[in-house]
Amino acid sequence: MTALLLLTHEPADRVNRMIDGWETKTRPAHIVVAYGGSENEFAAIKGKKVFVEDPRLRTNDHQREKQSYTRVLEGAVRLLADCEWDSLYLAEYDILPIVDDLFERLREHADSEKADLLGHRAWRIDDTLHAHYSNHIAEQRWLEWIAGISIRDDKNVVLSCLGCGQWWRREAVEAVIALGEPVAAYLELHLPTAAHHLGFRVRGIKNQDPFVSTNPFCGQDEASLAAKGAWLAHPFKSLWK
Amino acid sequence: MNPGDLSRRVAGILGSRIVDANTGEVLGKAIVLPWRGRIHLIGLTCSVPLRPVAVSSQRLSYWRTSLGFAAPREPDFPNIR
Repeated sequence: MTALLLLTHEPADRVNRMIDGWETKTRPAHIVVAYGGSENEFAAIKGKKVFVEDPRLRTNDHQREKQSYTRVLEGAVRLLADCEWDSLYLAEYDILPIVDDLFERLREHADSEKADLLGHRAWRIDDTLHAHYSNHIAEQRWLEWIAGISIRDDKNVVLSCLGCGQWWRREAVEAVIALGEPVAAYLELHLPTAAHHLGFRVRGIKNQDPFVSTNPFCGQDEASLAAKGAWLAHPFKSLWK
Repeated sequence: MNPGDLSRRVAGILGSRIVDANTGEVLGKAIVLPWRGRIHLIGLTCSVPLRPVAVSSQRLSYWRTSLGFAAPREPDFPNIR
């Protein structure tokens, strides 16, 4: 049973349409909205919701300010504490769900990969020239903290995956949240790397990576993307208007 | 246009092709600039982070060595909990 966590800062009317859209399309077991917008708009959002005040979420220059989703995940999991779910899907507001059985497909993929965390553009980056890695090794504290919590033999491994569209097994997300984040790191490194060093298996969703980009999709609609094999697509900034 | 976009545009026209040393796949382009004992890649257009790798050489040579690049590895570590 997959719970859906929708992360957004959009106006309440759009958020409510987004909730309806995801509910109708993908039928998650539960939906939680984590909100990074204004308190007035938050009040008008329906259903389970958590207002995230953390300045580490409300960043402008996300990478340089080391944006964090730790409080987002923590708030959502707290709201879901008494609910029945065994996996959590984190969707940013600009993900377009394309297939009706998205969560079944993700579950199948995770099971076949024996994965505890699935992410897009998942890479091992500690042997690469990845800009985020270069930036994080300039300040050793985070790497030292990771080494301190690691149960792995190789404590130097650093993983990266996009923040949007992450699928988590419950045990893994709860364990990563329980760590907290005493040393700031960018979420695309912190989440998969912390999960890895706690002993969980992190894998990619490679067949969907072509549909998850940092550049907006132009001139392509849901049907054409579906015909190309997309389960979902990102980013669609004008969804749910 | 910000400096990043400008450098990528220039690299897209004038830069060297960055080829995966293992597969031959073109990963993107960049202006490759040696400076003060380091190699700088300016305006990198690759969509994946580059992994520096030794380039295989059929002929043994002591006067020349080459640094190449490859696509990153996917994480593939078991669950050990």
